Amino acid sequence: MKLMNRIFQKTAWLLIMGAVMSVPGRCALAQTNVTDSAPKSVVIESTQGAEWDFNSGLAVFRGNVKVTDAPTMVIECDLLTAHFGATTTSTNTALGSVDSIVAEQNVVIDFVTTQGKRHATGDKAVYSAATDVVELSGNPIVTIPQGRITGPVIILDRKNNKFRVPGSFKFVSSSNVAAQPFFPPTIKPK
Amino acid sequence: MKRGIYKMRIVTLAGLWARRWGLPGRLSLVGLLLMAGIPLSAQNISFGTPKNFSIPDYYAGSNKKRSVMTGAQAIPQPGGQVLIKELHIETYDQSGATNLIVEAPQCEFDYSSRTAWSSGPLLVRDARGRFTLEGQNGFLWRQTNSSLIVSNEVRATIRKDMIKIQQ
Repeated sequence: MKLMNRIFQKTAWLLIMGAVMSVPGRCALAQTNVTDSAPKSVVIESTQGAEWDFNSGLAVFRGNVKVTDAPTMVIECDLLTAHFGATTTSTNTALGSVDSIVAEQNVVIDFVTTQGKRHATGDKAVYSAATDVVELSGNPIVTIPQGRITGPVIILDRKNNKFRVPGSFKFVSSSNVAAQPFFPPTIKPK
Repeated sequence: MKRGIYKMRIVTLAGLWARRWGLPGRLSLVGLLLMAGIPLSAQNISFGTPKNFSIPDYYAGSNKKRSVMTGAQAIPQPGGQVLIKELHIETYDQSGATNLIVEAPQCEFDYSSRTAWSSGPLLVRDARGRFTLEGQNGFLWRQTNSSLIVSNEVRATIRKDMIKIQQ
């Protein structure tokens, strides 16, 4: 009987220790996996070719251009210009870092915010690497579950996964019954 | 014997071209062979197809390499162009570090305009592995102004650490 008790106690102790030790281990492993599986690259695809001028650092992609920055953002357009900055050496073939990306013609952006997925359209989107912000202009519209928000410019803040509409803007409810002003807590009109 | 004379003349010509282009003589001979596709065929002299060749390009007024084009085989084509098999171009910055690597299974090359083109696939990659550009249906590479045009389907992959974001 004593032997059985000892075996039971030891088994229970081992189980508890195993459980305690495995929890942080599993969490760490899960975190590692998430980190490892997160894409570390931005992919740009186009169907009508690309032109790259290594002197000026300009790369132009044409036709059904798709920029995938998974999992947070996908930009589609017909014309995309990527600006590569100067390198430390002034050579004509050196490839510097990406400074900005300009998407033009039928711009569609799908992005993830803290409040869910959002869909935006416009004529032009300018991404600045310095600020990690996308500025959408040219009749920009952001669609949210409650309706659509329009304004002169819509700013997608990638750092904080939010969007904002500076200045005057208009909200049209998804029922399309009436146009009404929309003042979300984070947005304050002028 | 006559063939030998022609060879001598061509080598001499190669030396002249080498001076003009500022190339080392031995390498310029390869370049000249590529350039001289028509004269050679006009004289009915065949040197075969150069294999595992290398053509360097230098920064203006400097002996620093700007790029080196290598290939497994160079086959002279009508019109003075050369068909290059297994093209490999490396470009360098002023310090000599490799910037870009351009690879294609084959392409045509015009030495006088320093232009390479193909209707086939192309892979351009950054030497540090931060960037790749893939094309499947043709390209045009102008060495003199370092510009590249890729036709139709293009896929560029940019590593996120190549995008300068201020934290």
